[in-house]
Amino acid sequence: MCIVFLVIGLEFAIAFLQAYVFVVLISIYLNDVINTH
Amino acid sequence: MLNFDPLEQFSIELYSSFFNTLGTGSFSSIGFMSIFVFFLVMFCYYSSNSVFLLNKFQKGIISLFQFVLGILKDSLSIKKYSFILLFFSTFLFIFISNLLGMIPYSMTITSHLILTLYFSLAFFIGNNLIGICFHREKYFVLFLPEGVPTPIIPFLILIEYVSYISRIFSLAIRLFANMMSGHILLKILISFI
Repeated sequence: MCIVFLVIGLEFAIAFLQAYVFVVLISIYLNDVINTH
Repeated sequence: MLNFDPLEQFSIELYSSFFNTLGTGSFSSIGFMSIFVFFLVMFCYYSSNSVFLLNKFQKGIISLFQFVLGILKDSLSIKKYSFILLFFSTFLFIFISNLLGMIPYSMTITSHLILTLYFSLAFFIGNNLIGICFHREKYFVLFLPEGVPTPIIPFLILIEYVSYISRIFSLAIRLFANMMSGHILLKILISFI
């Protein structure tokens, strides 16, 4: 029972983290394209 | 648990569809949820876009905006507020659809490869268009790092090209696999109780 709530909390953290990672990677790719050399 | 299927939660329900000579189309639960999340993103953006006193929800949205702005300042070094709306709405869309997926009997649209692949493909095409607008014909120097000896150049261009293409799939599969594995894990753990 306890571990289920722990995993649910982890899942909320993942929900935030994946959105963060997506935005960071997209901005890095856009930076690669805009500032070539 | 006689018939227990952890993958059942990802099934897409078809609400309506048409197949005729003009074309084919369908409206399913994934389309419904995407439109719902889109309206939620619109609501979040426009509700915190006021000049009056803000409540806690609006302050939270504004702090998220500052957060995304900080990311952009760190990695994207052009004007101060350029591209912020695109990135903020993307962030809110993925975040809200992940959160809505945590509600029982709801549906996680980011746990479907079709949606995440659509997102990363759209950004890939947009990146190319922006690069061509910024650099014109010099854009294709992107595939050639500086200071490379001449005989290696064809191989290096091939490798750079493959890594450039594989970005689409890495972006899409990361989000999809994370959400799907998390929901399968939750379902299996809850079935033990």
